[in-house]
Amino acid sequence: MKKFDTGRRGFLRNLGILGAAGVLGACGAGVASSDGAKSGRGQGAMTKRLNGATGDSVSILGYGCMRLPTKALVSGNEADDEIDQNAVNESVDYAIAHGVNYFDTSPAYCKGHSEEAMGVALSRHPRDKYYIATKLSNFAPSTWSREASIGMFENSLRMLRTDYVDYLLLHGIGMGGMEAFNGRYVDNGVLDYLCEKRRQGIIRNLGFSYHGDVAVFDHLLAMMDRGEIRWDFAQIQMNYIDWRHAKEINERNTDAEYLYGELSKRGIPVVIMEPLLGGRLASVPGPVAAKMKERRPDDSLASWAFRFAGTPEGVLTVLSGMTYMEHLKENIATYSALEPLDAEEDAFLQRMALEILQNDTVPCTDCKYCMPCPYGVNIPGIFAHYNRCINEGTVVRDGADPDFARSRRAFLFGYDRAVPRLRQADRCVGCGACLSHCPQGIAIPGRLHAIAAYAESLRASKI
Amino acid sequence: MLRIVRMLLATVAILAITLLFVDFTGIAARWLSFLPKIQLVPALLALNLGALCLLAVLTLVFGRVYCSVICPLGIYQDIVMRLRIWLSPKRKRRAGFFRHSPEAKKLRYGFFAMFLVLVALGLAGVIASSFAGLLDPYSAYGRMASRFALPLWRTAVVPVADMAAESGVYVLDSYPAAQPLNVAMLAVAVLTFVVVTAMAWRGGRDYCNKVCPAGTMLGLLSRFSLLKPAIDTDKCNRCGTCGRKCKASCIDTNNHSIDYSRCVVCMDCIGNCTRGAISYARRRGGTAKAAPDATRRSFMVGLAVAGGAIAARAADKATDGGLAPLKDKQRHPDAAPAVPAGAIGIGHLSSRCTACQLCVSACPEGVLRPSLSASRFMQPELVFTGGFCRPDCTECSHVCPAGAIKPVDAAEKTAIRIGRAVVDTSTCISAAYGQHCGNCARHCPAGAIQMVKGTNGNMRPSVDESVCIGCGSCEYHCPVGTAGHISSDKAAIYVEGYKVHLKS
Repeated sequence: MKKFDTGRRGFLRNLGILGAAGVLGACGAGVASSDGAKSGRGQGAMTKRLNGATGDSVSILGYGCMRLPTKALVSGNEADDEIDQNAVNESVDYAIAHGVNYFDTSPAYCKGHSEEAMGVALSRHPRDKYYIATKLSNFAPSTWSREASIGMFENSLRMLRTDYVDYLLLHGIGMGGMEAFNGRYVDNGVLDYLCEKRRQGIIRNLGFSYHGDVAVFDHLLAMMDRGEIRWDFAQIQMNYIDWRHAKEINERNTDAEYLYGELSKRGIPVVIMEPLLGGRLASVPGPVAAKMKERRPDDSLASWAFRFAGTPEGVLTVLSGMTYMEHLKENIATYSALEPLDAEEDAFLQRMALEILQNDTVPCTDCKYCMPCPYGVNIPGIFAHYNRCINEGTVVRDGADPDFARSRRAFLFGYDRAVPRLRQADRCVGCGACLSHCPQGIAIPGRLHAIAAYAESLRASKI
Repeated sequence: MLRIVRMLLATVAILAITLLFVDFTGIAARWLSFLPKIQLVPALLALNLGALCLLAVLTLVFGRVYCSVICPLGIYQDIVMRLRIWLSPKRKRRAGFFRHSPEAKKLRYGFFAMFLVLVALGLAGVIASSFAGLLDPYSAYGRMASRFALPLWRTAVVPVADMAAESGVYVLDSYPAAQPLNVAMLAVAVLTFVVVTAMAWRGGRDYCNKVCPAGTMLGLLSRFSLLKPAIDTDKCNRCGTCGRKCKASCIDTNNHSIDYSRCVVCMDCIGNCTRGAISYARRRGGTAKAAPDATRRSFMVGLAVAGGAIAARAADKATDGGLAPLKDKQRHPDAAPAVPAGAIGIGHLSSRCTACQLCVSACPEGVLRPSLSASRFMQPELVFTGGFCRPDCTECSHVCPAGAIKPVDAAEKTAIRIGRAVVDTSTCISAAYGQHCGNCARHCPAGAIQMVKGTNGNMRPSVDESVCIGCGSCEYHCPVGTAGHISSDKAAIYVEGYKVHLKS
């Protein structure tokens, strides 16, 4: 496999020369950085990156709209999953007031209500204050026809209360391999339609978000190399685990180092998704957390991941789905202004990545594409609890362990609190309906059965 | 002084017993489980000779202290009276609320005879022993506690448990889910509550001395108790205070006599006598009316009848996101009921259980529920729709005071087959529709279920009935009846209980 080896490291070398807070000039990646201020964390203005092609000045923090706050957050009733529009409005107002100007949604998010909620929230602000990114989603084959695709796009404009989209992405490229890509976007002329819309100015930037089969990713870039199409930007999953250890999370994934390198080489601005790996990098194993706190005691664990994702100069924006106001404030502080990682810190994070990988966590990012499970299983909820326990060291299999009793309680009672009994892992019948939907390629039924067996072994061992 | 001691002991006892019904952590049970076991009616049904001797000796020495400091319903009535006193104007309070009345023999022995008949019918297997249990004061209190105190406690404890869980302390977590509303049980508890409260409010210890079989039985012994309150005729000025303050209405001031069969030795008379004319001391039965021999004989006969019947029964032991909707799984209406492993069989359980609900409150999985069928009314049965009877759990067998569920340990329990799983291939998503499942086999703790190829080529569960212990894990884990997209509301594999448990 080709490995890109100069982009990130070269950048870090440059950084050393320019100094930690140096202003970076535009380079090959088509993105220029403009730091608002040089003062400490949360003291300056939001770092902006320049999209060379359109001249967009994009905030390094992008607002992800996949995990919008629901009424359940207030009511505590999980079934109350209607979007809390007031909370969305409040959050969007705060974000815009603090320099965030990139909002990434999709027709599929939040059970299909994300675009509508964002349309309501954003239309309260002048249209030139922000950039909208949305997607041509590819979940149900019933939406794959040309007519349905055009309908989906036009509906997006309507829901978002706008007559143009700043950034449009082909959704989930690579899931389902080449066949799905050709069937979904090429054979039916949908890609041509989108290019036409770009010529008309209704789509200002056309790009793709990539998960899964790297052959599709390579194919898309080859298309551009052959001059068949121009990609204005691309969205990839990148964090300090995926940088070099994507395969260790999942055999099917590709290292972000390669993906970023290929894009950077061609000057394609890169949008980063999953900078926290679905929140997993916001709560890392205890020993890793201790080392991070030792270096920067006042910074959150998540801030390391955000600084990592924002550091490469080819990155246009880093998306984060901020369900809670606290997360938004925290991320704005981290990026106002961004303090890029130095080479030593970069090496430190790579060491931490290895330490984290030694834990047997499930690489679930809580994207909820697998949901709803027909049998009512709360798949992401179960994985989140299991990962939390792994990270807290409360998954103990040895009954002789002095911490066994405490760990058992923490696992079981925490489990019952996180997920009601009838939605726990032991309800998985193994039908496999979820498998094709998981962008991380997790063998969901197998992992659920293993967790169910572990929980059952704990329940059966009375102490 | 003695009165203070009585009140202290009573407070501790009622709090402890109530705690047993509401505490799901198992901590209370570790220290206090002896309290239900020394309750008279359950001890009688359990033929718990130790407890019976203890109570007999206690009564023969001290009088009916049982009714004042052990019986939760007795203590509860004292609390009702205390409330009435607090709520009354001072004048009325000084005057007292009670006056002497003669012993209501017909009522008292009528109820006792009825109780004996009900017990006998229960032991003979004609009706459930819970009908006799309706008259048992401890079980009546248990039914009130499990229906009123438990939900209240649950509500009160949830915020505290949430806070504790935040900091990683899970002691207060309630693992059994709240049980669905059971109207019949609630009606029984409300009725008990209304009758007992009204009787106590109006007439003090009327329930204890006119209805309660435990009170009547102990009354037969307490006539001969060694220590008893007695009036010193030299000091007494016949002011009548003691009689007006006697909850049991058993002091005849004019004749200086006390009916010791009704006296619950609450010590109120001693505490209220301004002249110190009443003392609690060793007396000859002089001031008491001698108990007629006939009563005594009939009591002994009654005990013998009850004991004989018990012995006879004891012999025959044998888009993204969102959550798919879920349904409330129902039990198969005609499936034979299953009862816990220590119960020996349905016959044994239904002839002993007084339906105090202690096992129902103690079940950590919440699978033990009061039955609604007339033949086992209010008695526990296993319902596997929200959980299953874990092979390692023996909680219910250790709390039962009536011996209806006998103690078993985990090793014994795994060798007791309380029922067997039966497959309904017409609704099984694997057998009938060829869908991938096998959840019953995956979760069978006994390894009794295997997926085999059926005649239609689909995989279907098969149960090895010689290994199946009837724990209900399959019924609980079956997606049929729970998953919203499957039309049936009953599991495709379910437990048929055995009438008499098999031992392997």
